Amino acid sequence: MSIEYLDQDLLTIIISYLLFWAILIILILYPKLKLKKVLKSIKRLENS
Amino acid sequence: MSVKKVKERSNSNLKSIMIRNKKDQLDLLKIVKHHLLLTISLIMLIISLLLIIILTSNNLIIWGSPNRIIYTIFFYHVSGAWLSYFSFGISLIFHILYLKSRKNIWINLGKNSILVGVCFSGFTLITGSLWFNATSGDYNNIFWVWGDARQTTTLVLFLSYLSYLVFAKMIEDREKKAKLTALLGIVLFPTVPLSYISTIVFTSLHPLINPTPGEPGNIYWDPLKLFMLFFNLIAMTILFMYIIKELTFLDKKKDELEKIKQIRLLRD
Repeated sequence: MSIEYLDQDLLTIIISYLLFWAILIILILYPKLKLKKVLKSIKRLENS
Repeated sequence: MSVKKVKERSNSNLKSIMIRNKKDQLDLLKIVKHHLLLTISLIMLIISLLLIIILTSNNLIIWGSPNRIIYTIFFYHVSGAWLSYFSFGISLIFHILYLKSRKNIWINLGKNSILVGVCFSGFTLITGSLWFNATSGDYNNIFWVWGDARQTTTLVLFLSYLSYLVFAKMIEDREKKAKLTALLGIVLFPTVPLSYISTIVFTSLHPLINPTPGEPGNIYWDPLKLFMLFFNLIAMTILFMYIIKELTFLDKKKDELEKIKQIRLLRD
């Protein structure tokens, strides 16, 4: 493994991988959290 | 308290704990079954991440000379690009199906595919420019070259589909919105092949997918790298199906909420 630019390479890789996982987590959680809100509103409207 | 009573009580406690454990296990099984696609894809992505870390740290993946760690960005950059092209391609089919059948499910599926595609084309653009700065730019803060065909055409692709999402948010009338967005989804599709063939037709610093194995600088045709790449691509495609399914279910419930609100308004 070449050690020239090793630190910068590692930082770039970590940023990219974290960004990837952040997008995945947002895309997985967004529908779940939004659905909870929508279901709550439906329940509230049906009950009132 | 007699010994018999204590024994009976402890037995009943044990039984209730066992029943609760069994129930918990069943609940867990239900969750795994319901989120099967998510579970499979996440397990595959975690395995792939561990493989990348282990193989790279042990120098088992060679990227040519000099063998720099930065090239491992390849696995996620290509996966992101694949998923964005795939999402936009699938959205084209959904939009055509909507225009044919006028069923709301197709337009929701098309819109959700584009949402996922925009997220991942943005990710591809960011990782591409980071990779460019690390290799061609030698960390001299050269992230973008407007003359590079792949970068520019991918930016056009990203902005086009982003404008689709903005456009879809702007129109109030549901039927009009569905019809116009379906047409827009079809009209915008040529930006996808344009971005893909840009490296072949125009000048670009982006590496070509060289079909001749063993050539110097060829980073694609190593069986181990190819296996890991396809492993990632399959995981991402499964995850795409899960996200689309969940987003479309959310749209269905949103429609229900809208209907209830309308009925209430009419009644009041």
